[in-house]
Amino acid sequence: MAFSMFLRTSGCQSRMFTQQAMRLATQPAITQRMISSSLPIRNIMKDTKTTPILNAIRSFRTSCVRRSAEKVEDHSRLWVIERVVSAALVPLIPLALMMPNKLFDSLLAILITAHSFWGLEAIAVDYVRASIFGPILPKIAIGLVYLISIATLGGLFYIISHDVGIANGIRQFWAIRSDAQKS
Amino acid sequence: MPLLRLTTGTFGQLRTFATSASLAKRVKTFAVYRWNPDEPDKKPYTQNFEVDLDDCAPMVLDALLKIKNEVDPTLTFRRSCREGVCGSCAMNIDGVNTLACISHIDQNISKPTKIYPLPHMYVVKDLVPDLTNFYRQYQSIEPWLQRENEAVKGKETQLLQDVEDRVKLDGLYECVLCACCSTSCPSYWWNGDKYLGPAVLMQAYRWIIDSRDEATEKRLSKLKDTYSVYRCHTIMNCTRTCPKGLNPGRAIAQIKTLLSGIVKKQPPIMDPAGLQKQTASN
Repeated sequence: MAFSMFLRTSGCQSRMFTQQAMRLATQPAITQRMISSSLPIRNIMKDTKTTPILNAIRSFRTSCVRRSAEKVEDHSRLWVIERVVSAALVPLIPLALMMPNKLFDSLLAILITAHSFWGLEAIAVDYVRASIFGPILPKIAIGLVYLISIATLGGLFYIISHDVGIANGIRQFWAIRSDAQKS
Repeated sequence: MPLLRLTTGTFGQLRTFATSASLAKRVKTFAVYRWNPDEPDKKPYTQNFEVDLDDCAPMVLDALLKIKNEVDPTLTFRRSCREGVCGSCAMNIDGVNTLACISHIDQNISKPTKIYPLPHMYVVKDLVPDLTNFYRQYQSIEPWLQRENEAVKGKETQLLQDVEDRVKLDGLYECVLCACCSTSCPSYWWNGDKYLGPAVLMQAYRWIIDSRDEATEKRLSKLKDTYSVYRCHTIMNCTRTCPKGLNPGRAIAQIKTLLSGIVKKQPPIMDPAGLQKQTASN
């Protein structure tokens, strides 16, 4: 019945939604009982202490479903690129480690940074939500993700240009032996 | 039973089957979440109910009804069909979201069965969650058949659909919208306001791949943004918990492939308007 009430609403508008939700909370019937239940609605709206249900619904913040007229962000192309990068990294990492050279290292740096950026961005978008952190902190979180990614890219390119390079660096890491092993 | 005990001495060989083991009841404890909106300041608590399993039908819903009838009539929960087809009695039983009416009571007496409302939902009372947002999201995907040319009222003809095209709907149409899957999804917990959730997305897919539906472009374009579909990270709690054995995770993956543009919806094997054209030409 609640669902059929929703089907009668003319699309979703935040103002109307709360009103509709209020009516639903008092469970009016679609027929004659509507009239008799309209009185309790007014009473309930005055005295909020006796109807916590309405409090729960009133404090419910849902973002309205977009109308088709609004501009819609297209995330589908980005999603494809994210998967392509992940797939490309699978053969590239062993290949680059086996044959250290500047080209593979640069490609590795860019793809790894992109991959980590999208991963961290997803974490920030999923968990640092405005509903618990307020309006400013989520933006700071995304800013931090950008900062970390730029720093990572910069650092990796520094290693490539002014140091041994990524592949060689990783190989050298494995070449470290303990004093006990060296004998 | 006690009468038979009196006769054991007289006949000697008559063994009493009224042993203490069968006289003692098999008592199972149910730990049920309680909260009353009429006492909103009282924090939610768990109330223990004892139920004799020898005197109770096998499903969790039967135990809840027995508790409501015999012990505490104020225990509040949704229920209707008692056979797993309506989706009303969806709740969290021993940590798993299922329908109470088709969930067998765990016969292990030593452990209580914990019954909680669906996770991360506003609670109306006791085990009743507020599914307003869930229904609103279902409405937003326009769950009805849409065609370019709507039939003239009074002159509708049957829309044709090949058997293979109909098979594509198997595993999608059986959804009872119980919300077990969506409320088991961590992404829906954290972003339930903007992420549609597995139940609604599976229904969106059900209409997208229906061969008779012609609004595929429009349906897909409504799902393109960062939140509606793409908060799914293939956690797959949804498929694991579906009490009807459906696979919302797979449906969402199919939506993603359709959104990517790499996979396209195949044209219908049988022209749905075939019968209409035939009657028009006659």
